[in-house]
Amino acid sequence: MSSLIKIDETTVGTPANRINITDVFSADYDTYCIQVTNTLAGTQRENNSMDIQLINSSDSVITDTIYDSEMIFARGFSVSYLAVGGASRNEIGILYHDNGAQNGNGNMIMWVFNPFQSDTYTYQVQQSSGRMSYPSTTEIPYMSKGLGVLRQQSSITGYSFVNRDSYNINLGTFRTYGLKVD
Amino acid sequence: MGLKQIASETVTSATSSVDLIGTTTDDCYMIVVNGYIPTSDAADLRARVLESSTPNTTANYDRAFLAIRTDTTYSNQSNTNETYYDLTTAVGNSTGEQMNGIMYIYNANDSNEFTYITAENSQLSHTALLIGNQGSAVFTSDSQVNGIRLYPNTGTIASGTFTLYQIEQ
Repeated sequence: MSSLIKIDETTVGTPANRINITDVFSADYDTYCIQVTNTLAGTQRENNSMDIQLINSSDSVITDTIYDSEMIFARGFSVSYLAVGGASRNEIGILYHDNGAQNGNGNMIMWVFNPFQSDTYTYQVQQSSGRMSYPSTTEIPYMSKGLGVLRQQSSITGYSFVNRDSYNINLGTFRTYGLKVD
Repeated sequence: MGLKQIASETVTSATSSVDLIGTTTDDCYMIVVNGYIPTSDAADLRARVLESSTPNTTANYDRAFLAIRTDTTYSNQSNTNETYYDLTTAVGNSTGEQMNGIMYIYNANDSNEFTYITAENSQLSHTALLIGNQGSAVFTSDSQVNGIRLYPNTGTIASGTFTLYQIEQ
């Protein structure tokens, strides 16, 4: 049997600005793999994206600027990487996509470390690939690799994706796996 | 395809190194480093291949990385002919500081090929700066590698869980 144990699969049924995946992190595992596939925004926007935030044991989304995150962002219109992120942000990572008219699509693998332990910070590394719009309505492919940390010693039990500008997330599948250590 | 645990060590008291042994098939392998904290502040985590469970210390380690960090734009990092493979950048050991990461190992068991590694990690340095080294490395010797040694460049490992998985066909 694989050491990667599926915990949850959530598919967006009703478009919403925010998708919360709750009660997936526990004392059962210390390392998690989150797979996000085929996200689609409800409204077109240049640089359309979703912020990734964490949910604490009170089921509250942590929106304070206590995350650091950074990624290299390769957009299909340029030969150079863009550095996106910084310290004291309100998201642990970003996933880009766009709406159907732009063939938008967001896909990501994110590893999350020690979210449930209340005496550690929560870390992530991620890579993503998809299609977005930049500049304006020009469809382009992209990829990113990045990392992040929640600078808070707290027990994290879930995660949340929220689209910028209050636009909806129309589609997407969010799978959460725990990595077993015997 | 699935992940099969091959070896794991959880460090809870000062330990000089961790040997993860068992890359004995031609499959790809994955190492997960969870919560590495050094006893000495600003200690890097390094790796060496194991041949017959003995670390190879020859100058045959090359690497090419992007260092992604929040205080400035990313930087290219590369080295050739080193005697180790450096995974990190001055990991801290104050509150919340640690390193976590994933490594994939290719061709380890094949005595006719170099051993290749890709890696991605996320850490807070001794100045509480978020840094991640994302890239690859190669051990430039045709040899049969049966595992990886992980060790800090100074001091010892204070804590962390280090696990080797086989990515089964």
